[in-house]
Amino acid sequence: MKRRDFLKKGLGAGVLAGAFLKVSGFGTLSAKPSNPAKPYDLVAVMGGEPAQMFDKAIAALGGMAKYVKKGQTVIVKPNIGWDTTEELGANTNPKLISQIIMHCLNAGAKEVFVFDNTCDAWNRCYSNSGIENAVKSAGGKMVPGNTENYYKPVSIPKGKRLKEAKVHELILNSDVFINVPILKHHSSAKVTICMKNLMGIVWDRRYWHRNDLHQCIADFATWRKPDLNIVDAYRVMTRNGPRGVSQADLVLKKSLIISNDMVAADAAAAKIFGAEPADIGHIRIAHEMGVGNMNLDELNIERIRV
Amino acid sequence: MIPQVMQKLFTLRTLRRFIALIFLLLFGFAFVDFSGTLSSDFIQGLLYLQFTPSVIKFITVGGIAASGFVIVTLLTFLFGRVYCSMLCPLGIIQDIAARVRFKKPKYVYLKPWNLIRYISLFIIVSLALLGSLFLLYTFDPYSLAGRIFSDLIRPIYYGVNNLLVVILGFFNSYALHHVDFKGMPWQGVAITGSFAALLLFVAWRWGRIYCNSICPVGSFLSIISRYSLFRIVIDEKTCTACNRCVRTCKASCIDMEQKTIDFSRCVACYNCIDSCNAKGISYRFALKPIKNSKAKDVDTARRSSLAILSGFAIGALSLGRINMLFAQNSGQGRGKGNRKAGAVFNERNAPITPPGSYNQMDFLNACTACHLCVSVCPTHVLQPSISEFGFWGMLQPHMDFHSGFCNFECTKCGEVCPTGAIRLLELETKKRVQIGKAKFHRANCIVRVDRTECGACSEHCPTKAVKMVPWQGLFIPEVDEDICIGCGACEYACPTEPYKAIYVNGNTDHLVAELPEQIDDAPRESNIDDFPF
Repeated sequence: MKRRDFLKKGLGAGVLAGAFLKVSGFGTLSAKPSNPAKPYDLVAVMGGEPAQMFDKAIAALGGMAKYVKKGQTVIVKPNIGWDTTEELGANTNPKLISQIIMHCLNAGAKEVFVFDNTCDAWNRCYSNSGIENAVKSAGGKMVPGNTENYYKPVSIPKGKRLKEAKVHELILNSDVFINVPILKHHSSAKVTICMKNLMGIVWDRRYWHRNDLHQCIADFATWRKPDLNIVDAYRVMTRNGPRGVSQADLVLKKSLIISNDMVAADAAAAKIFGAEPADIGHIRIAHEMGVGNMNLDELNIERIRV
Repeated sequence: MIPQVMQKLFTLRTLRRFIALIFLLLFGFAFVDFSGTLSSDFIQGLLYLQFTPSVIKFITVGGIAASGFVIVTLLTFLFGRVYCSMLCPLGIIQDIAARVRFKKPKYVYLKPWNLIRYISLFIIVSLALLGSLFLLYTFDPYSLAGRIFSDLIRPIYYGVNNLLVVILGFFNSYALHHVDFKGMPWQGVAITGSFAALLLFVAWRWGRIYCNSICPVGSFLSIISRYSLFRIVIDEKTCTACNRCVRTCKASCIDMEQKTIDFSRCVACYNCIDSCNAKGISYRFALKPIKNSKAKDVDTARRSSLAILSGFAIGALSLGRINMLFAQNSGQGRGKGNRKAGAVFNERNAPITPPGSYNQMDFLNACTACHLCVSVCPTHVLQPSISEFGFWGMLQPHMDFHSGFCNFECTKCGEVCPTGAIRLLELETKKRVQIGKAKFHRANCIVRVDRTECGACSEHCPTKAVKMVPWQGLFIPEVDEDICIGCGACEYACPTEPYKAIYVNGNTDHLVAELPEQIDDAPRESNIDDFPF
């Protein structure tokens, strides 16, 4: 074969392969297909509305009844950190919250509580985020988390820098813990997803900032795994996080991730955000500490397009 | 015929008590409530007739909303000092204090202290015109009553609420929530507390002495009430000189020897009318002012009233333009703890006044330190100052970024302020008012000192004036002063101790911050159409 032909053919094949990959979607092609025979480690949904995507995701995991038993109390922990409206994407989508609460109540939950230790004035965050209304209309209860006396000390035996923390009493007293973060850019932690959202169930956050934030986030993740993590990636803040300045900071990704492995959910969400999981300090540390698995190709993932 | 019992029930005194009690309950609730139960408009309406704030608002803002003092003056001209008994919160508090005893108090007639009250009024008004409201807000009955509720009764109210929260907790109910009484400097509580204790004791022992000696509103209204159309008079024919009315007169203004009433001191409580069995004292139309027996007193009063009225007139024109002679422009950030080696003290070049106050001088020239804004502020960033504005501005509120930060989406203080010291801004305007500028001290920053990521300041910044920029493999804050609004979120969130790595320097003149770049009202469309994993 002549050198020129070799080049021609090679180039042609390359272009062809590239075109094929482009058409079929590189990600899907390279990803391991899901195995429906085994329980899914993670379910990802794309292209729908928040409530609709949650319906599909929880159905793929076997329904809410797998997680919530009759007569149990449930605590749902969204991100309600900021006194901004739903459209600004700084707080978890209220429609997603109400859908989760309805699933819990349908599964027989006795009570569903919702709270967050907010950054802005807490009652303004609750009402202006639209979450208070969503919770009440769905039949849940909005609970304050604004003062220290709601928080009880716990010890974190596996923690390296964070050995103890004060955690909201409802996390300690409820039967089921559902973590519902929103995927956002974060000026301190690079991204905020499942593990970072748990900073909203503890009291003294300044301690974390003073003592290696990424290590503290990973340390706290060793304390207790939420029974379910549902990542709202519908409106994704890709810059100026975690508060955001305007809607220009958002990208409509219309996605949702659900998993009981926080590290896996964070890794998948980081990919949707556009970051490599291993580049995010707390995801890498938590993976190394054995909190969960950030290597997505080792997981049984169900992908649903709406 | 109305039965005698009913007649006893529907007297001017019961009407006065009814109005006073309802008013005080609403007033007190507005100053202790933490849930925003009363709307800002309702609070504005409730305080519409408060004399001092209304006068100041008339000077600073003007308009119908500030005409309350005209109505009070007219009411006084018609009926006497009805304000003092029904609408003055401090007057009502004093009346309640006087009732806390086993047997009824027995008052005696006292000669008027005209020299004291008109000289006090003259000094208070003069100092206000010279540029410090210090004496005015210290003795103004509305503001003092506001401070009593905000600084003293509010913590008790919070405590009762928190006790209920604990009790409800046993029943697993989260119907109420815990509230922290945070940020209030102890000196503020101590000052208001000692004033209140002294005042209540005087009221308990001697009745309305305060209202007829130091109170600037009482002294001013007394000049008007000398000429009131309706007044309380003694009928010399039916009066038996039994002295019952004298004993019930908490203003000590009924002179039984001369059978005259010093209506300039009468606070229109109508106790005397109810006490009389012989119908010897009544409230009626009496056009001609009853001559005070002592000509000297009248003269003093006339001269003073002229001086004071002209003072008010000049004040209306010039207050706010006259330079502050007393209040200082500088203050310091209160650091906590001892100075750490290498750490930099947060030296503010000026304290911070709330958005809507335009500049520090206008603010100090209009604020009567009633602490209503302190009570309603959802983040507790507004706190009484101690030394921030200097001695002559003590207790006037400032933004304390150790207890909170100014909530970006909130205009509550401007909505309720009755004096116009904090003016109501449109939310979009307020979001751009620059009350100060953030200053970053790298020497104190966690990122530099401990070599770890932090970014708490940037996280809380609503305009992203504080950005994290690459620095030696980490990210460190950088401030864009042009878009900083000085809300203090960065300073509040900064975890360094004892001195913050980022803090806000007040703007003595508020500025307008530039808009952050790339503001848009729609999200961008996603460029990926499949799972990236």
